[in-house]
Amino acid sequence: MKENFDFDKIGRRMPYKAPANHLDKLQADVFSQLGLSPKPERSRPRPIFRRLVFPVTGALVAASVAAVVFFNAEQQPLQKPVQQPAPKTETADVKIEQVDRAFYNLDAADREYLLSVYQNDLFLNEQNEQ
Amino acid sequence: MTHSRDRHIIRTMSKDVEKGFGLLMARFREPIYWHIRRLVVSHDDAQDAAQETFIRIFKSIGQLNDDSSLSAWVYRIATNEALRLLDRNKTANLSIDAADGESFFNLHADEYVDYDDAVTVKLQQAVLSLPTKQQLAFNMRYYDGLEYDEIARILDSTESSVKANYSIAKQKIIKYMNLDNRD
Repeated sequence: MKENFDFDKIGRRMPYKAPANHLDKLQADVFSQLGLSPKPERSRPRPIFRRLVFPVTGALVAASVAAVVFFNAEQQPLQKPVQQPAPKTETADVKIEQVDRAFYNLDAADREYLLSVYQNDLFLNEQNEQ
Repeated sequence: MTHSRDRHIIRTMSKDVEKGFGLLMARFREPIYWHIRRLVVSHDDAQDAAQETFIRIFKSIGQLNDDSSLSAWVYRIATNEALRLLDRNKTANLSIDAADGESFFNLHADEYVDYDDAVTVKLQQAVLSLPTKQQLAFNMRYYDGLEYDEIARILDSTESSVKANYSIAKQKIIKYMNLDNRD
């Protein structure tokens, strides 16, 4: 009995190939024809920075939270379970300064990338608006 | 997800055309290149037609609004561009029903085709030999995974017509591939 052709055996495979980076060339050609400025290099952060940006940011945030919790716990007298005044912003300010310092230690391209990530983050922006 | 991404692109374009167009290219350059490539076969032709497609898109961005289906609109422009190129090249369009054994691919020898992958080459031969409407319905459903109603919007047709074209195309391809198996 003749075997029926089975699409699943091929899937979406095609015999076509294309040169490397042809899509980048396509985009560059289109932008050039339209007189648009090509995408700046900063939109592609260096791989090492891309690998580090989130762990470093996460570590800074975690350190800030831990420091705030630690200092608050230290300020609370154990025998006085009375309502504490609103936490002083001094500790937070120190941490923010540390984050700021870390931020400004980055080079310009990395700072710009980080800013663009946060500016375009809908979730963060929604939270800030609330 | 895809629709919200497309709405985001449209909204960005309404505020900052250049930025929005960059997002549009990032989203569509790959699927549109391959959509055109499947129709015109040659890499150089596909690259040219894709370039022309995105230039046309940029020049007619004003026609878009929030209610438009960005994907359907982009695919429609790309399809028209590919068909225009084929028309210009006066490509011979063999029919499966009247196939004389001459390979369609022989007419389009291209260094960017892997002729060693015989079964996919034959599948493309079969697809390229279909009438245009069946070919488009098959490609957009099978390779691009588009819904029937979206294909209908792209082709300015009806969902039932697209379903019929896809079904007929599949049957013809299976028949073609099975005939080849006996060789």
